[in-house]
Amino acid sequence: MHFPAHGSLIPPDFWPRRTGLINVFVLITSGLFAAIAVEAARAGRTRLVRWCLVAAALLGLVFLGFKAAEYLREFALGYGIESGTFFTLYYLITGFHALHVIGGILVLALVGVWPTLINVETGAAFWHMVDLVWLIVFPVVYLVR
Amino acid sequence: MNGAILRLVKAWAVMGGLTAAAVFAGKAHGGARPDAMLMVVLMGLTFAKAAVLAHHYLDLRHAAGWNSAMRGSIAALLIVLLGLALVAG
Repeated sequence: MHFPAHGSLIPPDFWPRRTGLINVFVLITSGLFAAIAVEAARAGRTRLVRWCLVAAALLGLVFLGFKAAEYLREFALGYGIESGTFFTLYYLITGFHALHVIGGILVLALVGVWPTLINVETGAAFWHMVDLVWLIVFPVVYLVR
Repeated sequence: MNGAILRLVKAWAVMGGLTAAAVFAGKAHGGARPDAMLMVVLMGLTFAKAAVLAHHYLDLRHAAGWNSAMRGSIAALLIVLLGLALVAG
């Protein structure tokens, strides 16, 4: 197994591209449900709005599950936040993103309770920005090597 | 509303295809260090994905100014990331 030099920005050989890739599809699918919720809110279909928001939030939880599994695997292999420049940046970037995913899930839950058009549009916009950030993080963290 | 959902599903498919293309580019490269061509391809594909998301999911297609500002901001960020990755590599 290749261990990166302390100052290296290159990830180790085992780097789990698959988890990052799965999470791209999880988040863009979640974003699809959030966008459909907005269209449903415009059409006045409150029941559909709520189901779409539930689906979006559940996929957010799936994202966090994959992220937690990835962290646990790296901890088990001995890679922590102080294991080199790459891992410091990796944990900071993905950790702060995960916190925003948690915040987004809470926002979607609140919007589901009060699904007015302006609430749904605002909550979905926050969720899409979380999605957008992951689209940019994915190639930088998982594909460049 | 069905037309809107179909449009969003098409946008999802385009983003999925661009993601698959990015993974293919990364695997095809397979080098120990990133090179300029790989970085340009990855950042280009990422920009295209982000632009689709802003246009359809964020619905900025109805706000040309915001759409342009969003694309410009994303492009600027990706250019900075590209430069940093090349310097670091």
